[in-house]
Amino acid sequence: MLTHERADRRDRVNRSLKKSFMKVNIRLYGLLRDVLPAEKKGRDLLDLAEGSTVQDALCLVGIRRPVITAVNELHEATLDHVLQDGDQMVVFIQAAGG
Amino acid sequence: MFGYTGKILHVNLTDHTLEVEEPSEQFYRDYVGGSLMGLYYLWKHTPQGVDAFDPRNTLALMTSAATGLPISGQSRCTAVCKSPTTQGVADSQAGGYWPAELKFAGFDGVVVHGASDTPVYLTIIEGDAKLHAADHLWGKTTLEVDKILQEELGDKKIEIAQIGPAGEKMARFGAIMNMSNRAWGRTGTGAVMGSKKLKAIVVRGTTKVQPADKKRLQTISRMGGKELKPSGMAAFGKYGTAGVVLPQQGDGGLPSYNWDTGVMSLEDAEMISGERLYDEILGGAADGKQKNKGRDTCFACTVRCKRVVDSEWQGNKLIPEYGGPEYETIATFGSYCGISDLHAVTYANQLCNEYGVDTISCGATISWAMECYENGVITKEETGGVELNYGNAEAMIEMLKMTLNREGFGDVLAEGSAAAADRLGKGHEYLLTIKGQELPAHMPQVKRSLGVIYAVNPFGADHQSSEHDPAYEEPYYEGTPEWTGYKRFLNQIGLDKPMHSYDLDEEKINYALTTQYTYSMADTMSVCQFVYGASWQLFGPQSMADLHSAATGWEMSVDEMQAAGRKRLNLMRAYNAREGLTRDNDTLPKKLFKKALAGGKSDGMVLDRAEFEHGLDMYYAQAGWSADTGTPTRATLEDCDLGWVADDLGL
Ligand code: SF4
Repeated sequence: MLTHERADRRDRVNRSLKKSFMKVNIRLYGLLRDVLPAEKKGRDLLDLAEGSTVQDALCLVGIRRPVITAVNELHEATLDHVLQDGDQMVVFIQAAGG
Repeated sequence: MFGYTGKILHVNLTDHTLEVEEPSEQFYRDYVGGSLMGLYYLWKHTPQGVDAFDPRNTLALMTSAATGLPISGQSRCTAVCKSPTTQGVADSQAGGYWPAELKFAGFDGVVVHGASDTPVYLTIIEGDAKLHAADHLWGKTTLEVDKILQEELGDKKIEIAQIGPAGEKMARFGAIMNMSNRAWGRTGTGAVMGSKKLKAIVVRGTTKVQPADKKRLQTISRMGGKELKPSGMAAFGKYGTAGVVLPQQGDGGLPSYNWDTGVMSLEDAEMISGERLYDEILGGAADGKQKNKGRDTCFACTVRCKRVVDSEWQGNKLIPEYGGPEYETIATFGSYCGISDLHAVTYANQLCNEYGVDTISCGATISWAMECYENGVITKEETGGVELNYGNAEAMIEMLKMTLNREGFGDVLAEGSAAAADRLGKGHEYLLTIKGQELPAHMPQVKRSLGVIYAVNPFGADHQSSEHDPAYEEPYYEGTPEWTGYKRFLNQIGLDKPMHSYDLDEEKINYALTTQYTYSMADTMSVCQFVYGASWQLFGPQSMADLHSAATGWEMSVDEMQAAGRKRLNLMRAYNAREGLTRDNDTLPKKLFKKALAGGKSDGMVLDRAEFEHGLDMYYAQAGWSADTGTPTRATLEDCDLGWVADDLGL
């Protein structure tokens, strides 16, 4: 995605934060954990505007590389998947080998 | 010559004689080092058709030009011999400090011939080699031997490559160990060393390795320093290979319950993750000092991906010197067995390192036994009362101990799962083996070209012989404005047509084979495949070629580097042909074609035999191997400067 598109999306997320909220649990693994303060160990409760997508949540925490996301029991949620209040969103980094 | 010591030590254990060979410069140019050089000695010194445990089997341990230079990822060594598991070539790499120290001691490699009547160990100290009686070491575990030898030789700085009790008893997955936690793990090299009654090779020296171009070496090294964080290798160092557990879970590629599924429950996967290992089990975890107390490295490597643990399992201390589990070990003793007790898995890793066995084959053999037990194929009477159900960590540890000591049912399992199934006359449908060796923990169902590589790889299924499919997927290949994608390295070897992991066409085969040559060169140059590689590593193909050029002063291009990797692959394959292996041995386990995976992103996935066979055909055609026999053609061998091999094979 182009940088300005991402900035637009972030603005939209920020603006909409003033509207109605929902809570989404997020779990980040591996090097993604470092986008949150260390003591959170990759877990956080996000405040998101209703109607926010997986992509919005990723933008909010500042993840800007390709990842695999899963929401609740749904595996590989797409970036435009709309989140619901109370959802659990898991973010994996892809590992090529190792 | 620069880089090399110019000396190879030949040890004849039958008559206890030692000989120093000084090969010509041309030989070093032609055979480079590591695996390729070891294969040359195997071919020339081991008669065709001998059993792997025959004294005439030759065991070579080889380094290369860059080994011992002050740059990350160069301290590796390859062990080559005929494999007791695959009956073809055995080929395995280990890191640590031993490879660099061998160079400092004055040798590029050691070739072991014959077999001793009584246990012996070899010392190579400051250019001087000697054989010693090792009766007092026989039966001792690895850390015990480390301590005895340090005391006996009065030097704490010696480096020791040794076999544990499992290798002595010729368990087919016996490994050669160094530092009591680094393993030449796969293909049974430790069992062969045991058959020769060679307990250990001790090295110590102070002669520095001289590179041809110090400045160029420094430039490469500085570039690595700058790339450490942006490349993601700093995080790799932080969580180690164990950091791969959760990505595999997310991808539906974490082999679980003996490969019935590609996922555990998320909670279970988190329990065995590298993140949890880091947070709770590593040294220094209690006070957030893992960086200093919980990580270890190989000579001169800034990545520091090795684990140092400090904890306990059911009253058993988890000893720091035995290291911590790699991803593969966590998978085989953890997810393969449906076990989420990471402390138990760490203890299993410790026991394997203590006795000297390959954690992949050993753990996978136990998970095979578990599937047999769950299905009533193996009974409680046969296991001696051990209830081998999935998820039973106590039973896993108990059966592991029995296997390591070759007691009761453990004596059957010490042969590996394929031989155990033959001996019992049952359980074949649950086997996950190729050429008699257990699969590592990456799933061809979600990485289609890896399935072809598993099948054709000369020393059995290997996860470190080609780049995995996801690195060639669009988003990872392309990257983002903030994150460099893998194309930066893949383009250096001409790969520029990304595609999905589940695709298997001509281009995907080209990707697999081309990166196989790169990995093959890494094993020839004797460098770590986490530091040098074709996509996600710290250094790419160009830096690999530059490293060899800087070390030797012989300018090497990326194409020439790829050609040397191709030469090694073809020599291995020709060796297998010489020993009677054919295309018929290039298979995947039946279970992968029969049983669809259950759950997660890979739910319902099963391999298609027609697609796989077509993949093989494309691979042989691109590799220049006969589609009927799977043997390299004369034209291919001649193209690799291996015309003499074609002559030997009568092609
Ligand atoms: S990356 Fe890890 S295994 Fe490789 S050389 Fe460095 S510390 Fe050793």
